[in-house]
Amino acid sequence: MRSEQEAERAIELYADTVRRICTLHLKSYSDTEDIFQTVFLKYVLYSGAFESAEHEKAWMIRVTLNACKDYMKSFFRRHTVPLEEIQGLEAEIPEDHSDVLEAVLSLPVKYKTVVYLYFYEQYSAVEIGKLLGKNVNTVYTLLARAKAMLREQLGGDEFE
Amino acid sequence: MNNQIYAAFDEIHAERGLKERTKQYLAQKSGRRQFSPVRYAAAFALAALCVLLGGGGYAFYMAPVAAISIDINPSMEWELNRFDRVVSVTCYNEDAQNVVSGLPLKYKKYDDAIIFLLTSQEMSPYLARDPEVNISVVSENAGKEQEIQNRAAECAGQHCGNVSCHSGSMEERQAAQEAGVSLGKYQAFQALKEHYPDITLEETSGMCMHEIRNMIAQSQVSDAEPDSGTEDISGSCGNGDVGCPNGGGHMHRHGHGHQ
Repeated sequence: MRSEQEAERAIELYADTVRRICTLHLKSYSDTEDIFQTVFLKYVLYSGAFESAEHEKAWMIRVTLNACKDYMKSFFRRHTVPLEEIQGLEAEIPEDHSDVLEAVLSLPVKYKTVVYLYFYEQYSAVEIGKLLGKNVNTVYTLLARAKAMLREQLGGDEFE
Repeated sequence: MNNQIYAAFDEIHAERGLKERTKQYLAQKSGRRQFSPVRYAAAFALAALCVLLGGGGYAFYMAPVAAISIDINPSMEWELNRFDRVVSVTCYNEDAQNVVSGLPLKYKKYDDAIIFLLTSQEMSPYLARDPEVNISVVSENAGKEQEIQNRAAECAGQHCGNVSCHSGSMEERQAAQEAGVSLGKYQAFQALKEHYPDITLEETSGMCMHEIRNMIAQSQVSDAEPDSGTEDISGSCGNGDVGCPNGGGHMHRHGHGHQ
């Protein structure tokens, strides 16, 4: 079990990463908070050693993606509607670049995850393949399709 | 495209409140899970107490407060705890070992154990000719001793016609233990010695109770008759009497006590 100091360090380092992945997958802020707690609790309870900072970050991303996936699959999630959704209060989206972000968020899950990892985290297709347990060619295909969808949504040539 | 997507994601940050609440949540969780040295000490003390209580309880349970010696030809001694349960079985001859090896007597109540022993198939060859069943009881508590003696006689009497019960002293038991015989056998030896002063414990330990009692009875009869020279003392264990190590044979002794 990791110490409180280690947990605080991890929160400072990876909170934004976890928040971004939550924004990609979840619709309500309370869901995001649940996943936040789950991910960092897993980190605290994880007794394995990380070989490097990159390894640690990849672990955080993997755990967050899995937690989001599990959460979306859960019985509770499938049978309830978040209060924010009823009230039209979706998770906050920053105003700048909101059109780009909205376009990314509107993509199916398998595309937006790859888009995030490729464009923001700057992982290579090979690294994304390893991280998601997918074939590299599949990753390339997903990226190409995602780009095409985004281009279509955001106005073709302007979005280059 | 790269820059626009990067910039869009880069504007997403974890809110301070979210971080703080997560930190609080983790502190709460780890506080519940993490053991402080005081908790470790408390857990250790509790474990030690459990071991102590367990060990103490076991020692309390296993502490013998009484002993029953059962001699037919199989010669054995049981130690009883304060709950009247058999906590140890000591065999003093091969016959006893043969009988006891197949019988789970330990931890039975002594009265159940007596019935179990006397009705067992292992014991049946030794009881075929209604031999004398000698039961000697010793306890530091006289009341307990009497109670066990009465109950043992009652239980044994239900299954054997020839039961004799005796009480003994702790000194006798200690002497018997030092001599490597059961209390009952030791008492029988003492009784026999009154009639045959030169008889040894070693000789007596090889006899079945029936033989010993017969020798005593013969001696008493001989005492009543004026000419009692060399005599043939025949144990009443007839030939083929199972369990008598001398095969129920005859004990020849020249002369006897009371000279």
